[in-house]
Amino acid sequence: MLFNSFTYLVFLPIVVALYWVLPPVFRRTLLLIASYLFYMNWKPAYGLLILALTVVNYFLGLAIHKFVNKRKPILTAGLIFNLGCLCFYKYANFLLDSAWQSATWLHTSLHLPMNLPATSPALDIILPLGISFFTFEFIHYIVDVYRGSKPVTNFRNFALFAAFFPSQIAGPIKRFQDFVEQMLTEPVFKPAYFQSGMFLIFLGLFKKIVLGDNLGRVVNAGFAHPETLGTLDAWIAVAGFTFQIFFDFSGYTDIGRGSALLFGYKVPENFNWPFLAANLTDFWRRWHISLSTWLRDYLFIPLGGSRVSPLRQQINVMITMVLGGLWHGAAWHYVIWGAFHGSGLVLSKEWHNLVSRLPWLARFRPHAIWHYSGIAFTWFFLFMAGVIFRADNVPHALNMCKHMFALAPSYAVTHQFLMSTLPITISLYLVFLLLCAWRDSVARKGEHANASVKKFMTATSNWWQGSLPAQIAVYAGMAIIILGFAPRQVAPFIYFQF
Amino acid sequence: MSPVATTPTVKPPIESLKKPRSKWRTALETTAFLAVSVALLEWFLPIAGVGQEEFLQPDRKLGCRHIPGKYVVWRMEGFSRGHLNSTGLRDIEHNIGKTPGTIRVALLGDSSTEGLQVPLDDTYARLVEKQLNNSGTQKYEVINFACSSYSTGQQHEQFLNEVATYKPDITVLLYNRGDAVENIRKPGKLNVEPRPYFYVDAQGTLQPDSSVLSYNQAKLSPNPVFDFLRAHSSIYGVLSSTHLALCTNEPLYGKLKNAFDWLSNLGNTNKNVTNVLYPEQDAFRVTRSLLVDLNNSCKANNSKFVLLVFPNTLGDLDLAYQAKQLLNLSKEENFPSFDLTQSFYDTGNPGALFLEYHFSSAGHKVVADQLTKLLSSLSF
Repeated sequence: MLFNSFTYLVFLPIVVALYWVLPPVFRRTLLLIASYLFYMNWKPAYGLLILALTVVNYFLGLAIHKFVNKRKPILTAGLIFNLGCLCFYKYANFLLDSAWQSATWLHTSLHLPMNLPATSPALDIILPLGISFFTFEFIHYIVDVYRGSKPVTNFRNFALFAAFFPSQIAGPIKRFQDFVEQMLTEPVFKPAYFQSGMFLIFLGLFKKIVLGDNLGRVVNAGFAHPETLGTLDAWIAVAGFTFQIFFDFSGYTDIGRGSALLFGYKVPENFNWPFLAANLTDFWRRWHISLSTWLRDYLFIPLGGSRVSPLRQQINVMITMVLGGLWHGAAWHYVIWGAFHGSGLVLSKEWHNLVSRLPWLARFRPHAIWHYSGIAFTWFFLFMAGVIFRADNVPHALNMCKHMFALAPSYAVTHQFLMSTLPITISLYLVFLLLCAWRDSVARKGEHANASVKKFMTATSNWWQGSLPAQIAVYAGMAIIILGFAPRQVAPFIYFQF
Repeated sequence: MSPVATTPTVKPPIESLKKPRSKWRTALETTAFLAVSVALLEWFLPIAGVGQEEFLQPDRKLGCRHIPGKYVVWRMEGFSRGHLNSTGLRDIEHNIGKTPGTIRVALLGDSSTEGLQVPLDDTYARLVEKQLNNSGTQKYEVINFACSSYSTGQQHEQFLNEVATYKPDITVLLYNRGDAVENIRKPGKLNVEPRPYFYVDAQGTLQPDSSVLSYNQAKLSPNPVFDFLRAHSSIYGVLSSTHLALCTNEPLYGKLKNAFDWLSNLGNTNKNVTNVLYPEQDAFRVTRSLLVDLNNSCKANNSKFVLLVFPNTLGDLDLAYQAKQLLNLSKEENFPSFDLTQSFYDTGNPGALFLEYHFSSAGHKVVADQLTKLLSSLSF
């Protein structure tokens, strides 16, 4: 079930209404049933898979906690089990295909005698939605129990943590300590949560449908025929993809977080103004935060983290990012994308060290131009990485790059972009961001903020929270805007494939 | 990037929330806010070019027709913006009375000829007029009567009721794939498109079947409120196109709509629509009869009938067969015809002549070039 589908539009209000109407004791059970229905709506049989993984990991957690002396082998078995499931469903065909291609190359180049099939062997596997996300949650759970956290003893609560539908398919990757803590008390209806939830859902739909999907049409037109692109066409397609994936994924996250708030649950944030990052290290602190912190805590730090030699540190960064790339999909261009980001992080760190050693260069650091150059360079890096991520294969990526840097007149994609609703909707979104930035800057200033501005903001906020009629009118208006600017065809979320 | 407060904190109860509000006051405030919201949207959406794709209104004879003077911004496939003319044609203004010494050409067709996917000046209707007038001393006026979704049967009726009054010297019809099946109706189907259908009786005579139109008379009759909203409201346009998109893309919505239609038709006692009183029809045979009849009607109105066949660049076997049959028919009935397929292949890249389903500007140019040649060769 897609968050941007009519089915979800029917499903969510029914579940929310039932949840708050039912006596508190039944609410979590209802949420668990709804989460399984949500998942099984796509492929009923895979409900059993998530149930099986939940049961095994529940008992693994209890066993690690109970049998302290044997916790290491139990953890190892748990890791093998979870990673084995992930590898089987996600990487089996990729590994088979890679092995077949290597063998074919050896056979043809070195004339080694081999009895190879004519085509790449493939298993009949359908990738279960969200497996990369919930497997990482299970690994986090058993590792944290191994490290000393208390396991979840209530099976229903653990099953709900694993299957919670607002974050089931594409994260954010939750931490069980935060989520289960919210289940220690009976759910209480909180108007502030409800209002924030509604707002996040509408914001997410706007990002996904109005911005992401419309950008997707321009991007698809650009990437479909790179040979026809002029310079500006190619840049619009490439930059468009970087922003498309942001609007798509952060839109999904907003809808998920908003849906969770309607039930009184908070799930972690995934994005924090990533396009304001002045370097790549900063970018990864702001982009897909739940994945980058997972990779830091369960891969980079166990590998030695920053406590090892500089060379080993760099190798650790590369390993983390390559595996992060592979996590996104079973294809070589994802591996290259991960390696590209890893190299970028290593070079960024080295550049930082170099500047620190050169006082004449370091004195430019506090200047605004230094900061904005950093942002511009980060954008440029992200665009190039985006080409690798979006392209079908390496030659396709190179072809796109060729057209980005070859001077040629532009027409089709530029025309499509200018004639679309995007210039208007992007402007609307920028106005919204400016208002948010202004609100945040007033909040940051605290006591030092202009008193009348603070008074105005407090009055507006109080009025909004107390005025149901205004909220109804604004949400109805937003719904019309989202429907009006939506492209005709609903597109699935990009991160659903991961 | 999430510009919303990261952790919604529970704020102390606000005074206004604590006070019991009168239900009437809440209802009144909601109405007032909604009214402001509607007014703002009706102001903003046309500026943004959104909600302007509602351009057809119900018609009791033809099933549907263009809304006269409607401002349309088309984004579904390609892009165009502009007004339909005051008589509801996707064209510049034309007088009913003909300028002496001018050869008037009427174009019949569906969305491919209507050409909302490209700017008006790029449609083959406008290009043909320009090219014909630039090629010699003879003056031409080309009028585009085409309307989205029209079948041959609707074009036939449109000629008799509307086009003939313009007294065209030449009437060109672009036959498209799918036109034939739209001319007949299958038995037992309630939710068929309201339009005139046809059949050929036992004596081989073409007969109209207006049962679906009769069945839908209530829907097709003028309704001041909906007609006004359709013509002037962008919000209505948004909701209408959303309804259409959901019917196509969302199975659950489709099922709910069918259930609603079934419930709302429970009281309809007109059962004619489910009982077809003639044998199952061969769609192409009916279409042939319609074209023969249209040719005769053109002759009766001193207009020369010309048939164009849609370019078959996708290797559609049905269209290939129909094109062959139509070219034979034109020889039998002595009217000029032209299959556009080869001209599209001759460009070397037929795919570039289409957007998704409809002609791109380049496609319209190829059609215009061929039609210009064909019309220039006709003698008067």
